[in-house]
Amino acid sequence: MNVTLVVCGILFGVGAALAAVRLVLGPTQIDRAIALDVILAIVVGVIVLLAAVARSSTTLVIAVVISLLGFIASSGLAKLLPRDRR
Amino acid sequence: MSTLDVIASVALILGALLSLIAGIAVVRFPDTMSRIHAATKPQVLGIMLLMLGVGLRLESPAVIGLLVLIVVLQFLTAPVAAHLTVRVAYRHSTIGQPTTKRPDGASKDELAILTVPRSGPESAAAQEIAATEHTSRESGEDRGPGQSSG
Repeated sequence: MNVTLVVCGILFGVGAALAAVRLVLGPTQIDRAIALDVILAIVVGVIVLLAAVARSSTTLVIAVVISLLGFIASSGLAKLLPRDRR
Repeated sequence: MSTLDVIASVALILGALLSLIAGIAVVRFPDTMSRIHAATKPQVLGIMLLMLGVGLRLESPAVIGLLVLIVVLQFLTAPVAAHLTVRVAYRHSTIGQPTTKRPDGASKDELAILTVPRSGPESAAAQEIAATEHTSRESGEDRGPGQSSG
């Protein structure tokens, strides 16, 4: 299971770093919102991965909360973005 | 390491791989629609694979309800969030216009398979027409058809 932890950690880390690149570079605010969505999905994935490696179900509730928070964040951004015209 | 652990590891690694693919695609794809298309993959399929891995790893029936709850919530909310984001992109008229250049310097004609041209040729007149259409559509949409502004 340690191998799984290391491999998944590398995959998650590189994916989050690339999404962060788009978050910084993103020419429009919409691209930044998309990158934030990807990063939140990766955060949920990391929490779930740690729960799987440690065989503990206590942190899974945090994954529920963060997946709901991602929806609220992106719908709120979609509501607020049209006023920021570029 | 039992058989269940091996299957759980494979599912976890596949879910993490989808996250990496989404990261690469979000950086590499030229326009907003392609990036949204790629960004929704780890939100649904990736989370589903990860939950499968956790469920096989924990081996306790009490957790299954929580895992199914997370998967159902992602199934319900990820398409809605993507749709809201796409609607904003549509109102900004960024569809069909690559917001970044490809690293190999491909021209816009070569990118046509990735983008949906909406406003025709990129002449100044077409851009102006698209801009006026865009503003009229947006100003008419928020108020609804029945209530006209004074």
